[in-house]
Amino acid sequence: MDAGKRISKFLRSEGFHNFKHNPFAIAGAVIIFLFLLTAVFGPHLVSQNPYDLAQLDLNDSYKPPIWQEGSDPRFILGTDDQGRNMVSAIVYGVRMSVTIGFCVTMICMTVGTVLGLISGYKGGRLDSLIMGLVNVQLSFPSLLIAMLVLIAFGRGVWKIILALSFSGWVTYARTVRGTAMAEKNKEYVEAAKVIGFPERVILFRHILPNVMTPVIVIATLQIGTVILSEATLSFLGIGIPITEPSLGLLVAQGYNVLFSGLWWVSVFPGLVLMLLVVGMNLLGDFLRDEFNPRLK
Amino acid sequence: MTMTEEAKNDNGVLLEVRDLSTHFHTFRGVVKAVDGVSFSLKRGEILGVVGESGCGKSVTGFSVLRLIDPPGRIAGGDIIFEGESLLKKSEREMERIRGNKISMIFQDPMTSLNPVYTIKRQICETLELHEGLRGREAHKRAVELLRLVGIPSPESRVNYYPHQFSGGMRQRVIIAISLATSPSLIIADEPTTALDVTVQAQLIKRLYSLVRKNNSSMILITHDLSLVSGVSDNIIVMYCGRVIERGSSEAVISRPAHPYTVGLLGSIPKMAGEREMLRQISGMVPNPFDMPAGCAFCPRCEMAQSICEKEYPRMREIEEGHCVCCHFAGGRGL
Amino acid sequence: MDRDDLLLEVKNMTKKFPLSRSGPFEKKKYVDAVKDFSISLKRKEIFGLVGESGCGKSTAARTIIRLYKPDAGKIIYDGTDITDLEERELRPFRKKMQMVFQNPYSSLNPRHTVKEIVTQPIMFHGLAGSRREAEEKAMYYLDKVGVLSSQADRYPHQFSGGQRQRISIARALAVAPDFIIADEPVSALDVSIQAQILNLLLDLREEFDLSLMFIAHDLAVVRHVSDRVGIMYLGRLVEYGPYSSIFENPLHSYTKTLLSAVPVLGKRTIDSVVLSDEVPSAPSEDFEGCVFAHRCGGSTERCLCETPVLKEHDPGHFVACWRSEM
Repeated sequence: MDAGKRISKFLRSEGFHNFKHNPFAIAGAVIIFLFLLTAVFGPHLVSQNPYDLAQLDLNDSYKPPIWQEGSDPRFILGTDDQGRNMVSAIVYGVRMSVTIGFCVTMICMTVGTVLGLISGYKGGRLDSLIMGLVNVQLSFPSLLIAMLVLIAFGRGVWKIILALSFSGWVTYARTVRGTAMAEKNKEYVEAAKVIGFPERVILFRHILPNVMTPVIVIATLQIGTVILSEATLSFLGIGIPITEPSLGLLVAQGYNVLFSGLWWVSVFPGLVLMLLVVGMNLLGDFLRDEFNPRLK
Repeated sequence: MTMTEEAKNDNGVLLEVRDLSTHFHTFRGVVKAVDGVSFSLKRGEILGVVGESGCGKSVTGFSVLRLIDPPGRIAGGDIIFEGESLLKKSEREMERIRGNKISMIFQDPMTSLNPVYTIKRQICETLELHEGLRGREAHKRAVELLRLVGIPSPESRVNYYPHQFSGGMRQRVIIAISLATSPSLIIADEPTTALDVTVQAQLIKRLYSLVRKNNSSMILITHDLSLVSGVSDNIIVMYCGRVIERGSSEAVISRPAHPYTVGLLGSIPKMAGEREMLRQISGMVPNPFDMPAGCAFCPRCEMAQSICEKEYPRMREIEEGHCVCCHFAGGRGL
Repeated sequence: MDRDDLLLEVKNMTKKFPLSRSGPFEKKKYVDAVKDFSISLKRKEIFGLVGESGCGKSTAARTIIRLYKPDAGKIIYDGTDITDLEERELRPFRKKMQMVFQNPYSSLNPRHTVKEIVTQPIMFHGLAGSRREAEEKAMYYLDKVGVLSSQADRYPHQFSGGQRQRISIARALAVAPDFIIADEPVSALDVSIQAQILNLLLDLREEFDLSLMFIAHDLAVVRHVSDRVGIMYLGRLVEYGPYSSIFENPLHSYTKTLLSAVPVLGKRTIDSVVLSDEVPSAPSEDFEGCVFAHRCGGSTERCLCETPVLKEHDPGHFVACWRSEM
């Protein structure tokens, strides 16, 4: 079926119909779409790269947003202590958040799904081993694990991605394992064996497509969690180094001066974070309900 | 049945279903699961409702008990039980009828019983609710009921949990529960389909004798024509939500009139005699969202003429008590 | 039976499964799902295997086709002993033996199109030069079973139960096997559709020279399609022979019970033989004696302690029962 037919078929489907009529889902999708646009194109559109020290002027520091007294028309939402344009800072921060969220989720999804598939399908000792690992992982708070990894390896964007991926794969593994265990007893899997397909073909070509549905739901909901985790780590000072953009860092910096009346440094990034996560959750919730097999 | 007009209240008519329609409103359109079904049932009669999957026989059974949940609703017609309209009753009044005067046996013995309660608890629940029995009296009656349905050592087994019984045993327990209140009507929806053939034979024999002994009526819903021919007095055949043939068991089985019934009977392989090629009914059941105008069976019918496409046939009596919904049947049996 | 005509020979095949209730430190207990199962199958023959739930017919089928490995006995396919072959060595046999399953709703991968489902096996076994050729072949088989080429790009859930079974049959045919095991292929279908599929199978048997092992619990269906019929009870084959002989002259008590329990059109309820309701579960591996003894009307001492052996009673008609010899 060519792309055009697939698209029109999708638009007529029950799923899309439910989506159209669900204001929350639409809101979520719109928000996410805007954020994606921001992440990709934003940096080209704003005037300043706030992380290029050469472009900053300390004289511009702590200018308030445009509707307050003492503001500078160049800086709509004000500036932070380094003179960074809040708008630019936020845009770069969003790009960072989305990138980290996406990378971590992709890594966790891949590792978790593969391990879950193998675990569920093969069973036996391998299953016990992998699930043992999962249980150990789960008994530690994920943020704590991330912190330990960062302390061990130091700071930096890729190290953060690694740290957050350490515990994120676990949910996928468990869910996929359950689904794989259910699917492996189905007759289409037996049929595949009777045809003679080797195990890896059965696992990846036959069973994998059937476990993807819950995986997508988990992924959508996880991106939000990851973004918040990164923000938390950065806020605590052990996440992204100060030379790189991060919404969490902005919140942290603004936190110190929050009660001196210089509210915009924390509040705007905080609002943006909140909006991003809410958007992901709205869409994720919708997907989860939509994919939930209804019995009638 | 034509008897209906004359045999109104009493004359032993227990249940009368008049032009019943039950519709389901789904995303893709309205499904007329039951579309103008009429039949009646006398006291002590066993009626077989036969048809293949999707014909609306189960929905008809559920409709009688008003067990239709949204997106389904009873869209038209009436159901008269013991002289009163069930559709006009409140939910409260229906609760006093369900499990009491009309009870139901469902298809899947594995899920019809609550796995976390003992059999005794489940039987006594009914006894308590409808007969007001408690304590030792209820216990005695429960054991009696189990003995009645043929469960060995009922005194000890009454305390078992459902998972300790086999499928056949569970169905017996369900029959026991359904008979506990001596209902005037039992609706059995494919009670033996999930069971092995030897177990099925046992069970249907037991059910039949108990129903007769109590002088209860039974509506036996099934796709198995052979089974129904062995137990029921009368049969109605359903297709696409409508009754297309009705008559005594003997008449419908030995002198089927509607081409669908003929085809159905011809599709059944025989246990003895020549092995002839099975007669198949070509095509498939129509899409419920895209029902043909005129006779629903027309696209698959060998005898179809142009009138069949345009006009829905009326129910005609071809011999005493034997009616068929077809423009042409009654002339040619195939 | 002429040696050249023999396609499949199964000798004393046994398949055990562990009883899950044994703890980690107890010696593992096993149950004989199939015990001492022996039959031979000729080319172009249809052998019907009947029994009630738990009799082991599905297990027997899956063991013969090497989805499981037998714990004892031999499976000889077309002269080669395939009992202990590893998966890689079995590969060439996979295109000679195929299977059609019972449940039309779970025997096709819901995420693959119907065309893909039938094309994959052709590609895998190298039966076509290119993908296009494989797809053409797939369409050929789909057409043979009555699925239109315009529908080939659809997904299984868009088809009815009967159509899905047809697709399953096309998938099995696609590798041009000599032998197909059909495990309850029509049990989940309505009677009128069942007739279509049965007629289709019989036609395909003629056209493609297939041998079929037809497994079912519906006796009338089995009688209709089979050349020979075998009856299983609790893992054992208790009787087998030409269909006419089995149905007109059943020898084993269980066979007689089974036959009398089948409802017959027009026959009023029901003078069937009374059996106690409990169908026991398969006996453990050290069981001796006739599995049916305690439910049989006339079991003797011998029946309780000595396992009966299949012996020829009438031409081609074998039964495992001490009473039949008396």
